[in-house]
Amino acid sequence: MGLLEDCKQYFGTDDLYAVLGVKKGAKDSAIKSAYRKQSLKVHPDRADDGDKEVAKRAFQTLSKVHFILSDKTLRETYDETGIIADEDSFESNADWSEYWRLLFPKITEQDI
Amino acid sequence: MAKTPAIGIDLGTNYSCVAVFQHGKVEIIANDQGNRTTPSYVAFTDTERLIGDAAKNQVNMNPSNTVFDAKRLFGRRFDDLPVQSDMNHWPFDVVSDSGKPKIKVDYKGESKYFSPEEISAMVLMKMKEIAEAYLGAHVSNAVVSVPALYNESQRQAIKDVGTISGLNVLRVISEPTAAAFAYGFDIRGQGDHGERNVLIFDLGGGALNVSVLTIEDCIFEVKSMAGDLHLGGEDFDIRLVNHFVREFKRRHRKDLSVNKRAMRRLRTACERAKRTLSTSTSASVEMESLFDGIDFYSTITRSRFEELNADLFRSTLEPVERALRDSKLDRGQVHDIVLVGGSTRIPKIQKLLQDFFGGKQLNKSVNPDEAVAYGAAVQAAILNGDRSEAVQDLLVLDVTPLSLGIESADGVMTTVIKRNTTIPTRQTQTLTTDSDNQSVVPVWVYEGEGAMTRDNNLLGKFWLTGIPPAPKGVPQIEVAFDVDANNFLNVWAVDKTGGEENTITVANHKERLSNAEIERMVKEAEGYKEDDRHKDRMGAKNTLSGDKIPEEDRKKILDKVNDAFNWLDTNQLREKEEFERKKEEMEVVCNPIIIRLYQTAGSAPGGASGCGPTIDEVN
Repeated sequence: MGLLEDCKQYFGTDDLYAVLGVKKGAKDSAIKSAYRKQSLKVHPDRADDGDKEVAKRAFQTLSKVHFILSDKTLRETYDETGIIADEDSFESNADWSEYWRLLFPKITEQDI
Repeated sequence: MAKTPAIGIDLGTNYSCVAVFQHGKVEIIANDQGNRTTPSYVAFTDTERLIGDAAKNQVNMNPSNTVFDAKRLFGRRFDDLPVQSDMNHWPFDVVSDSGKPKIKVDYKGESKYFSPEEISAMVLMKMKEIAEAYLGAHVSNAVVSVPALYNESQRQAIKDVGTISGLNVLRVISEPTAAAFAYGFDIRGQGDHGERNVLIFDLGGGALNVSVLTIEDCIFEVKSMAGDLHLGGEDFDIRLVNHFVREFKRRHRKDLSVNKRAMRRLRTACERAKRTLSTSTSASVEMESLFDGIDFYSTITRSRFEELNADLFRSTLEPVERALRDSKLDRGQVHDIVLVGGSTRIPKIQKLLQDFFGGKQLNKSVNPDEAVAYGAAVQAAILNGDRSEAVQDLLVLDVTPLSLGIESADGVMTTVIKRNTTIPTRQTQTLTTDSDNQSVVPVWVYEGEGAMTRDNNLLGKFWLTGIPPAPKGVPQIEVAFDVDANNFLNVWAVDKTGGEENTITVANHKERLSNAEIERMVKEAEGYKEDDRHKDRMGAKNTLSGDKIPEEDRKKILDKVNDAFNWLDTNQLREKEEFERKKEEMEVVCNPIIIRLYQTAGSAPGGASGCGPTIDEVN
């Protein structure tokens, strides 16, 4: 269940930019606005009862597209190669300083 | 348009509020006492069950059977630390029923045990009835708000509460998100169509919620949520209570904390003093015969109150920092800081928040007590399929409050969905085996921010079996997490090589009520309603008979009124003083009768102006 197949199924295109309805060189702010406009169309909250499940999947696809196009490296990779970095690599974008804090939380007076 | 509107309910720790969206606007619905918020109190007596104002009004007489704060017990185990510390301050008994907390009360001379869900369902039912009385129709759908940091089991508990009270909960919405809706609804149409970053600071009776949103046109994108489930007005009250208990001990060498009734009276007085301190610099507490026949009079200044709560007040900023960090915005990028919740009236808290944002003006444009219900009502209208102009392009993009993940080797939490991810969302993670020829892989699902799973909350577990023998690290098992718009999680695992598949809906776990329990509670709730109906009938009967005006009185009033009319007909051009004298004459006759009438009906009239109308005719 690759992202591109999902795009094809729910948005009738396998071009991530076309899913949002913007041009390839669009600015970050344009992508953000386009994402919000599109979500108004596909969000399950606005769908009729029978279409909720489809709307949910469509929205999940849409937010993933937005995630990729609003991430600098992922977007560059996609622009150059047309490949979407493996889904598992989301983890590698994690904030390492935050991860460090998670492993070694700040010591408070109470802890002592 | 035949559909009955869905309602929005703010089920608060201390107060609840209900609102409805219809005819293009939101209306806050007042209860039968004319109040726009209803205390989340349920009381039990020898003869009846009371909910709301009626329950809170008698709390000092019946402290051990008047239940409040039930929301603080939601989705909790009896042994949980917050439960244990809260219990010390509650005049009612909480007992453990195989690990779950139950509230023990005497009702009609019998000991009864209620789960916190049942108590809240009674409050929810009351809110539903308030809405039904106003709308004149049966209400079946509602959006109910919860604190931002409520976890999966607590959200499920709210859904169960809805079922018990006969409501279909369309959505469990986070309180700050609902408040943002109310705020966004407000600023809409002010000609500003740019992107605005808004921080909602919601400090209520029991919990602190902070959320950061971006509002563009009518789309509300939640960026981050943070909060403290156990910080609110109740905690400030408790500090005050402890202060006065110490003072009492010092002055009279007596410990009044052993007396439940005294403690409850003191607590009510402290809540009042706290409110006074938001507008004046000192407040007095006066209670006659508080304990052992000793009268207690004392005053407290605002600065002393701030000192007592200094650490609590300061700790309200911590979630603000966390929410900002998660939203990747810095303080200067926040356009509006919106205050919600009764406790944001405390001047010191406003000051701390303002200083934190470098002296930026705080926004107090929404009603702090009603904003959450207001927003919930808007969301209810959208979900109920209302397509009217006011809501047609409104949408909220909500986020997951807590990270979701699975346990990997040695109890490490592997996050699959990070907190503050926009929902609905779906993420996958590939797992493998730890040892050669392993045929079963356990999938344990957790929520929380701890690096180790032992610090997090276990949501559910299952095993993926039938993996073909292979060296360790070779099999590829794909685990998919799917969160729907309700923030409910589904997990499934597939062995990519062999095709074995296993799914769970993470819904039925230990803290949650079983279906059988819910069914029983629904039945019992109907039984209580039957009791109430009987009570209502008796009440109505009493008022009706009370309203009967004795024949002689009726004649007296009628004679006098006719007299006045006749006089008016012939004396249209008299002086002011003469009209007034005539009015007084009439009042002498009418007022005693009217007052007697009100007294028998059980409620006193506001003032004795019962006979004014005849004079009005002149104008």
